[in-house]
Amino acid sequence: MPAPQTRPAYEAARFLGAAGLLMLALAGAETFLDPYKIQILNLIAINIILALSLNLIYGFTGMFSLGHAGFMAIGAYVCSLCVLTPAYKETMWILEPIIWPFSHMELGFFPAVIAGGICAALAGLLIALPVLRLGGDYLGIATLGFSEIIRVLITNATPITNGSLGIKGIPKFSTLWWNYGWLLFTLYFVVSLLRSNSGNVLKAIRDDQIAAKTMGINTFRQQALSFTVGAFFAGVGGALTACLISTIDPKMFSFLLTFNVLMIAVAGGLGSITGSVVAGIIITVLLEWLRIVEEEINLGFILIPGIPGMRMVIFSMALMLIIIFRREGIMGMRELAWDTPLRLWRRFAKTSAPPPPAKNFSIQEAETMPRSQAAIPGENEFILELRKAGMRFGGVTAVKDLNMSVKTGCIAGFIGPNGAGKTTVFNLISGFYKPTQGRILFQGADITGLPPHLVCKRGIARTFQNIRLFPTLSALQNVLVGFHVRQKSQWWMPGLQLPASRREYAAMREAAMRLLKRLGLDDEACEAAGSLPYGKQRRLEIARALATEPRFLLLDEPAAGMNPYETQDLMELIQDIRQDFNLTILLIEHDMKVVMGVCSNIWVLEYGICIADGPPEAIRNDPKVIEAYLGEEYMEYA
Amino acid sequence: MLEINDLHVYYGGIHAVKGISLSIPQGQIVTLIGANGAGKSSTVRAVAGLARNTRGSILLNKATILGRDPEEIVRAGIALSPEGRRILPHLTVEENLRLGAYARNDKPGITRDLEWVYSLFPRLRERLWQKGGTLSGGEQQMLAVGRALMSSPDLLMLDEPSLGLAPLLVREIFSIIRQINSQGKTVLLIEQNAFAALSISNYAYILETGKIALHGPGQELLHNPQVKEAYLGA
Repeated sequence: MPAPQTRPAYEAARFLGAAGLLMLALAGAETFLDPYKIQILNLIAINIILALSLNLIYGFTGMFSLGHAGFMAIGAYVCSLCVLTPAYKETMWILEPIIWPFSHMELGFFPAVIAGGICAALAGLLIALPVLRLGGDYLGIATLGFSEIIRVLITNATPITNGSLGIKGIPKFSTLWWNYGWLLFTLYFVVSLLRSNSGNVLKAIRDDQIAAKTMGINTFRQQALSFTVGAFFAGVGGALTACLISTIDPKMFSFLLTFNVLMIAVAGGLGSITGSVVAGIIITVLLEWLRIVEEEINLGFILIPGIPGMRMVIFSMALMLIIIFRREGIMGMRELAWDTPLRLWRRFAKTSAPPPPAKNFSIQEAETMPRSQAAIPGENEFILELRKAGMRFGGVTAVKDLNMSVKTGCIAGFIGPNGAGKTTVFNLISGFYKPTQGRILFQGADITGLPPHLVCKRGIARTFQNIRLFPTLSALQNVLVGFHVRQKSQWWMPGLQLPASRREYAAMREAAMRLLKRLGLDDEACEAAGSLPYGKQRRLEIARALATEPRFLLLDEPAAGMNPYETQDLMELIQDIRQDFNLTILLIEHDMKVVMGVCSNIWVLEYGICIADGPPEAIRNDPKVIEAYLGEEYMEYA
Repeated sequence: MLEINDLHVYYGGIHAVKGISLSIPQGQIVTLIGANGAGKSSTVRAVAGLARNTRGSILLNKATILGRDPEEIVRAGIALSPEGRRILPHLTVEENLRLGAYARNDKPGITRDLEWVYSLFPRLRERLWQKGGTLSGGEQQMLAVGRALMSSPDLLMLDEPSLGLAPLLVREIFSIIRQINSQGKTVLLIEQNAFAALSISNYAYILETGKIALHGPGQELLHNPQVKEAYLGA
């Protein structure tokens, strides 16, 4: 059963209700708590904002980034320079006088924080362009370096930043109201982003970048986007910090600061929003409370001298313990929800809300869209043409002079000995390799060398030999990621609650459910793709490919690992989807029952060269094919 | 040689194997057949020491091996060519094969077995210096089987060795399995190609949802109408 969708009005009411409660609590806190406790409450809000921004980058998009201190520094300095009065700045910069325009600019607190966030975001974008192409650990090292560069720049740009003296006397604008206001905004923005299809897309990139590319996702653009948004909120956090503690200097923004944020995000659970919130509260409180270990402790009989930095020792050890014993953090990837108890009850009672009415977002409708350049028979007799296509890796020729014309609407097969270059041809067609020779035409247009996501947009989808689903996403989310390439809503729309993008998402969910049902997977819609049994994973991969609304589908060994019974089902499925979705299919397969049973034309590859092509009967009896591939006893064996 | 008694395997909250018992006599080929998700791979993973959450008993030559570490089990003489191949992508073909013999010390024996594997799979000799990860799917399958052989096991467990192989090679791999068996090695085979597997098996077990549904000599199951309908696609 799909998770019941909540109605917008109900959701808005819930959000406003929570905000109201929070306001009451803040008013209470302001009246009854002492300044020290209020300070801690403020730090909690800022730390949660920072942890959320890192979680977006690292936990949800899978980019290991250690640049948070740098973004915070930018936010803090920009904001401080904006809120200080020109007269004050004149007197403060004693080493070197402050230069124009910094000496004269003055903004209110709110625009100053925004400015800090935007400058951090710009820096994020700037650093994203070269370093996001690195992955994994390299990205961590590069961003760590970036953060240090920012610190050194600030130390030395004395006419702007007052150098190592730092800036003192920043007005304490960061009140409880501002901090919690920003926290609510951050939460709201991040939650709406992640709940929309953009969230599915980011998580898909985290799970498997290659598969995400074949879903038509411009992974680089999406990663840069997530990185920039994360940097924005880190900048906001930095700005709020500056106006909370009123003094900033370059030493503050060392790696230790990044480490603090990382600790909250990891302890809470990478990929869990509520985890960041919970850990933000716990760790901030503990950080304050643990100050006692840095002071002298008098146990009566013995006097333990205070050890400065002891808190961080304890925290580092706690982080190590978390990594060793509970790597997924407090929450893992799960979320606490308002209606968790309600949902449990629903599951217990086995009732489900009726699906909301939604506009049809159907494959049929898609066909009337201009993009499909309707495959009129006769006009494009061949949907795909390879003209002398070839691929060399260093000195090895994997594919050579391959000519291939696939008729629109047919099911074609691709066979050959292991290592003959069949999958290489798939990679050429789907854009993972740029052919070193020849051209590839799709629907009459040259697609040679287009990157995978653009090939997908043109209408080519594929599956993988070793199944590449997004394992942590549910089956439904996997299919939704497939719809992204045809989606009209932009990433910033969900936060605005535009009815159009809301309707589109609801319609996509419906279409995705229909697609799952069509492939017999509707009962597994909410299960993690990685936990599905093998046969269902294969089907889900096909469902996901169909969600991109392809004209042309490449299947790489769809029957591998299936028993004859399952294979029979698969053959029917392939024929049915070709009919229902008006597809042309090209498949690699070693099961001759499948190839001979469903294909109208077959190409045989050996050592990268096409040795035969034709209808099944001709291939079956071709002496060259029998020698290279089928084997003499093929007939009696099959 | 291998005795499995009332084996249960739990896998991520799923009760994958629900109390199966089977025995593999010395020098035979025994096959497990069943649909995807029936518990075949979980069973061999348990034998190889890769499944952690298990109950029951597995005896190798009367000594219990359930609960022991995978590396000890390899040294005890059991090798697995795992599902999904699991070759080492950044090592060359030869390095992959030599690592298969990591637990051995007899240099001449290793050299001899390496030659033997290359003669079984001439394709691997052509790709000697290529990194495992750049091999095609079928070549990786050959490498996984070859690597398992390199530990010179008494019991060779093959999890779908014909997966992704061209028809010519599928035939060949079954004749290779026979050949391996005729050299005195015991084989536990998992296959979707039930016809070929049963043809070469001394004995076979059919698994359904974690339990043994049927068992008998390979030739007998081959002619069993139930088996024909469900697994041979007749």
